[in-house]
Amino acid sequence: MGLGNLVTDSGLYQKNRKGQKQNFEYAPYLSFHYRWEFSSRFEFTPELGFAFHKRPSPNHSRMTFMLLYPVSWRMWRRHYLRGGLANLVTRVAGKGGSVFMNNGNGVSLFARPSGATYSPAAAAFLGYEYRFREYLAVRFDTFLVPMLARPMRLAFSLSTNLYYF
Amino acid sequence: MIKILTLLSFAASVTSSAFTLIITNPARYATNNVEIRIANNDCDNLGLSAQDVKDMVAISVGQYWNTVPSSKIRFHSGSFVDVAEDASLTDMKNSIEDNQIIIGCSKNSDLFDSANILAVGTMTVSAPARGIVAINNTAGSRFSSLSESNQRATLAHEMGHAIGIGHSTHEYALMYFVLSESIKQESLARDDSDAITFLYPNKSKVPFLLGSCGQIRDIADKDLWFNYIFVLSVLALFLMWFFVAGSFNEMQKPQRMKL
Repeated sequence: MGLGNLVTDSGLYQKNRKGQKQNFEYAPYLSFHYRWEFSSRFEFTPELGFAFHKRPSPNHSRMTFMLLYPVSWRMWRRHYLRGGLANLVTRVAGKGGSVFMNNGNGVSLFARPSGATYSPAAAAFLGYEYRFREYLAVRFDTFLVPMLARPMRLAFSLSTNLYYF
Repeated sequence: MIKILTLLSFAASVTSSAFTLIITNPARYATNNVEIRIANNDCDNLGLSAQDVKDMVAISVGQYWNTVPSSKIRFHSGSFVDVAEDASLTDMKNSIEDNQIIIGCSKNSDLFDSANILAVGTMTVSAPARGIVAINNTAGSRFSSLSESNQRATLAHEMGHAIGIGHSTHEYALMYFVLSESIKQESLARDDSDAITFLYPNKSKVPFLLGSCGQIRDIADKDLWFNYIFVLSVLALFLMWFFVAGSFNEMQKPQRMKL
């Protein structure tokens, strides 16, 4: 399993009144993976991960699921290069209900989001991993999401992984 | 006392809400690529021609709503359409086809009974979806006093209503209910992105686990081809490493002598 931080949509969205964009966000990332060594230098490490974003409001939430299909190449000693394909699924959910809000010159009733929607996107990623021990590693992955389309967004994750066999 | 309690409950409800929808289940556009038609009448009280509005819309969608990777919907500025200069929202709605949005100026005094109303955006309540954005072109309209960037932000805000999004309480969200000169609205906020993702998420054409490659916008788009070649190059390089280094690794293995 692994613990870390996942930053999605880096540099896309406004974060303050000055119009500055958000490059980093704190979103704890929990992952589970399995490691297949099919040679002394190559491994396949499929991974399922969950990123828990800060709750935007009491009425709606956002979460990111990730499925990674990485192949790792042992470059030199404890240094590994990883790369492959991934799926990022964004989940936006709301509790429903309605709220009176300002609407120009008066007040109107607006609906709060109800239910959940899932938005999948395919991604390509490249990463680096350093293994302190056979079972303990730290890694950094950079994702391009979605593939073959615009606008592309940059996502990256930094995590510490523990391998148990 | 009742008034105070009502005000308090209103304040509490406002501060605890983020993005909202215009109604619980708004009509959705049936296409991923929505055409925005431009009313072919000049906005004489604002000093804008129909072409100026069209150019402003093109920049606005590129700056705001077309920037969300987790949403399938994209907008493009389309052709002109004839409407009266005092057209009502119904007149404007009837001048376009389904799954289109119309943006244009109007001098309709019923619609704009105050110069402080900058613009109005809405959409049909039930499918098929049609969106309407009317800019206040009555005499003394405050729209003309806005900076160009705030005019674009206003259009994008009303377009948000035209796709089903309501107001937000996040003060730096595009859909915040007040346009403030002190807030520089350069892009969407995360709250706006959540709203459009909630209404128009990417859809997978293949089983869920394979996901979606997003929106392939235009085969002639040079950037698209650049992305395509870039991703393929990275994968090709990785495969080369895989095979070349793998073969090298096999050669390095100590060979047992056969006796």
